Amino acid sequence: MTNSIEYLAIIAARSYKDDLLKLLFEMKCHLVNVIYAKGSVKSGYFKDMLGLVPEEKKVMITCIATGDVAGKVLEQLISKFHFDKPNTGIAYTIPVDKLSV
Amino acid sequence: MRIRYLWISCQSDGGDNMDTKMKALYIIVNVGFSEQVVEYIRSQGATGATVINARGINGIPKDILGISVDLEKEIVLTLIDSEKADKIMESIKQNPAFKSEAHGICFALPVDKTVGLN
Repeated sequence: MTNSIEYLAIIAARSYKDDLLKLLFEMKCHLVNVIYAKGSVKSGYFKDMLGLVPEEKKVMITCIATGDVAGKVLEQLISKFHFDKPNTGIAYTIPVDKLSV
Repeated sequence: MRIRYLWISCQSDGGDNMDTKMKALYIIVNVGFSEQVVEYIRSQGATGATVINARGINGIPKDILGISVDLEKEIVLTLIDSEKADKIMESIKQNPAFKSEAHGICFALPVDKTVGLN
């Protein structure tokens, strides 16, 4: 994966936004985009009324990085942001075929 | 303006290092139909989905008093096993609802690595 380029997408709660952006810029990721999104949490009426539903507002941060960097970012997401635990966030990479800059 | 294009061809290693056999499924529907789509993909085994607001632009731009009227869309994004993704895509193709009001478009992208899917 040395020469590969990956499209990295991170979906997490909006409170993580600044820290995630800091991480991506530290790791020298390119074309960073921030998209506001919402989760699809399914809740009952009473839970919703009582405010017991987890945060629905999400942020989706996308960027372009090399395969090595993307791997390191994913590792950092587990170690720093605890993405391996439920209700924190998800991240995935999609291989990029060609890139024009 | 001089634009310089630099094409970088990225070498793929033929899927040897692919950690997952998952697909990122993007379903684009007219606004208001995302809940139905989320319910459906949940019934097919998806654990969750993310909904993004978007605007659709077609060939004939609508313009009322100088204000452009775009079609409001919603993108439902979910990560799912490739087999289930194929099943969902097939049902979206066959489901008449997606051919009428919802105007559903669906595409799947191969996912290399994932984090946070429990």
